[in-house]
Amino acid sequence: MSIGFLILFLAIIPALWKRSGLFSILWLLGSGIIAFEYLEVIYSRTVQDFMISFPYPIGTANIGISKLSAFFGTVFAIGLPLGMLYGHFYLKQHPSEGIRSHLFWLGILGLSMHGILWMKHSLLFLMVWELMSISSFFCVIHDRQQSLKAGLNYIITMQIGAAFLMVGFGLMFIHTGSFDFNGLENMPRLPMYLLLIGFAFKAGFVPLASWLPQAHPVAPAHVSGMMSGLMIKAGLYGIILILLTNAFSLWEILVFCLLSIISAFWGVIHAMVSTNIKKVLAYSSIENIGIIGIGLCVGLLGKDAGIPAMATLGFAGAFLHIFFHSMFKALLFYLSGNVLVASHTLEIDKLGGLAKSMPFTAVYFLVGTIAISALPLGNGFISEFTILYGIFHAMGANDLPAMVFGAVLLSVLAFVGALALIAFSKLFAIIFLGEARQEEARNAQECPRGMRIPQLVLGLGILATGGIANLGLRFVKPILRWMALDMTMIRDFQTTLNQVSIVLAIVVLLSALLYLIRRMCVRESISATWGCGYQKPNPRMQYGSYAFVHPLSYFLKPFILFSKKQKQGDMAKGINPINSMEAVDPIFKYIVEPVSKAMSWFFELFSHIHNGKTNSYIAWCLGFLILIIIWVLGVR
Amino acid sequence: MISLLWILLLPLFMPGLISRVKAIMVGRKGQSLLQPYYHFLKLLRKDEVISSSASFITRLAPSIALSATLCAALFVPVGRSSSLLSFQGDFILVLYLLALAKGIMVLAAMDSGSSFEGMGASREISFTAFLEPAFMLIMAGLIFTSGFTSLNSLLDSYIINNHEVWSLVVGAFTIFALFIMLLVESARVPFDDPNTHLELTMIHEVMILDYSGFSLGLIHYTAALKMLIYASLIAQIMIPQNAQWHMGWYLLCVLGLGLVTGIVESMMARFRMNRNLELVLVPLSISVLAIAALIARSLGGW
Repeated sequence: MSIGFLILFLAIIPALWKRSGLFSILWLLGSGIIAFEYLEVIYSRTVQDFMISFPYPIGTANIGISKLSAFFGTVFAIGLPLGMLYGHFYLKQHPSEGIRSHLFWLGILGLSMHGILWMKHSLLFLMVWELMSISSFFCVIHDRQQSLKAGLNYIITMQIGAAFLMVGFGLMFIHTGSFDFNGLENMPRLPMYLLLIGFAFKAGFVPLASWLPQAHPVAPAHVSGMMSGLMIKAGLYGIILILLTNAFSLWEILVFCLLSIISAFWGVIHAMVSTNIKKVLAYSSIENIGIIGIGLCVGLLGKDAGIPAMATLGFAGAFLHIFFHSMFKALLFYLSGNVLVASHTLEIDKLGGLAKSMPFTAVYFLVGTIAISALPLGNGFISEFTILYGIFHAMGANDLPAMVFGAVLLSVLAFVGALALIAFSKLFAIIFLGEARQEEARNAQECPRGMRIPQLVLGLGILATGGIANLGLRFVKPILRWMALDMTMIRDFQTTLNQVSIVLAIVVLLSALLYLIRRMCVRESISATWGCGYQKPNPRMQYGSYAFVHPLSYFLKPFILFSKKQKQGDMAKGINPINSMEAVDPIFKYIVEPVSKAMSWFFELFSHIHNGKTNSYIAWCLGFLILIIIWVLGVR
Repeated sequence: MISLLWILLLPLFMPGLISRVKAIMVGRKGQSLLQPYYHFLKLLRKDEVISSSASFITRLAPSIALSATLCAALFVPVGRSSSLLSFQGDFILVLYLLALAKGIMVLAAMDSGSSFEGMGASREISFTAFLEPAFMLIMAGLIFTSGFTSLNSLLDSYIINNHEVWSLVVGAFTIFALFIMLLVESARVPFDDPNTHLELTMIHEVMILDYSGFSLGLIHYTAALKMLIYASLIAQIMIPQNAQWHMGWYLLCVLGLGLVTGIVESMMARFRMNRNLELVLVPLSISVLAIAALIARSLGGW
């Protein structure tokens, strides 16, 4: 293990010399070694634990990994180096200043993500947690002009989340008298809630997720891929850590359930109506976090109701979705980078027809689309199948909350899955199909091969885990066993998954056969699209992104806030009227923005202290000193 | 094996039956019942004209849609002979396979770059949002009476006429919800009019405007197969427990459904396009009602 981490530390040296190629190679090498050792921890009984003595405030700290953190570690060790590799090729296409600091902070981000899994001491944990937030902030603002505002919003949100964590861990220290993570077991309620809220900021549960759609569109593609696919899982790691070591009453589970449902629903409807590729992906991250939360809830409900199969499958589904989401979400974000490099825009209504000029990108995007909308052949289907399978065990089990919430979660999962299908078929169709809507898209060229290597790996991984349905479960099984869940039915479930794989194989073979028959026997002739009698159709007449989702967004109006802009034109002067419509995030608009405005107004009040006159500064210092002296003397 | 034969041969009979019923209702003689078969075989022998903006999706989509739908159909029991494939919880896979078929056809419609096809695609995929949860809840309702098993034994052990009010009520709910789903999914009046002459007002037909020849044949077959899947689900629930001739009952129910669909089509006009989704909510609400009743009952509420 130490060799792997040594290599990752060494990778910072080429980063300082701007050698991004060497940097990513070292990351691949180091992460490979680390991944194997994490897997060893997962599959064997050996546990890596060190007791290390630190100077006074910390004391003896326990640094080590459990099976849970080894699971997350493996996910990180698979995802991070691919992101670094993609970053190397992406930065080559996007030459800009500040490569040195960007690479440095990328390295720190990766190391700190691994680091939080090791820390079992709350002070150290908080330090590494902060390091992760700060380094990711610096990675986000790589492109300074556009991203600084969103980046600041991100770092402030993270600081608020960290403040919750600090208070939570502080109260835990008061309660148990130690900073060790053993104190997480059976905590009193207040610090536990504070910790959960703090972690939920990072994970992106609604209503704490407004930083996601702000920060992702402006960050470089590889950074958003790694943050959305991997870093928000660090928040989930914290939440699961607390879920596993505490007992919950039914009401608490139901509140968690509702929050997950709201996150999933909120995320997906906004993904449906957004028109920026990365914004769609960011909202869909919120949705997927909601789905993972639903899986965890199913597990907790199953435990509470005494339905072992439901508990096991719920947790299994949640872990599978964590793993799979890290693959398909990262893939889609990297592909958005390809689109940006080729066409210099992320607005989908300017794109179109890229499937012909960028065939590889289109195929990978299709794989990602199938996975994220939980269609068979993609791996998202396997995890949702597992969760649904768990919920069906609650039906007819004579437990009111399990049945009612089972039915609710069932329909929510199906509804959210269908909306995700709509959102992503829209995204794929508008970007890649039809004809180019604007000049940039018409001139798009396929990206260089290097950028496609990480995508090929991720795409094959998605198809493998989606096709061989047992693969993911095999990875998750030791953790379920470690959580002391009932494993008797897992064997039956594995047979079921094998049968699913067989059916999927039949689907693939059959369609290949039909396709080949068509290829051999049918002669094609090319002609223009049938314009339904209209003689001169042009690309701008194609169905646009808003029109595509209109039937449903009309239905979901109460939940989506549109801001409309109308500008009267003047035909005589040749000014065309402009009508535009954009979905805005109500939480951001009505909570985050007013609060931040009020805060900056409050701090404005003190701004005249900063007047540039040395003598007034000295006067302030003097006054402060006098106050302190009075206070100290007065206390004595 | 016999059920596979039925699944392969029966689908195209339904559209023929429906159009014959419609013709008779308006006083015409109507086409031969086997006309869809002739049409299908003719299309298979034809070459294709492909849109100039088509990418690989257009060429690939019909075969994926057909094979996904066919695999879904393999899970559906025909008569009392058990389905070819079955495992615990297979109905989830059936639902998602149908969604795969639908999703890929929607992408194929968007592939041509025609605004009319986009219109159809957008309408078609909007329906899934309410139909998927409805299907899930219907299955959950059946699980209450027969336990969590495969689709085959779920429908097998569901007995509508065991002289209990509950199974009758839930059965009636389920049948009604599934019938509306059949109308939506197979693009029939009042949701979609396959015979309309204006592209603006079509859903399924407009999505495949740019298909011709072999692929169009596959698409027609897929649509008919999907209709047969829903019809078989309904028929399977309606077969009485101690019936002697299961296959006869099954055929009676399926053909009866074709008859009812034809009559509904002749009696009703198509609904307004933008209000369609409100009606699609009906199966969802019915299944919510059924599952609420079942939960109350299993807790001894009545």
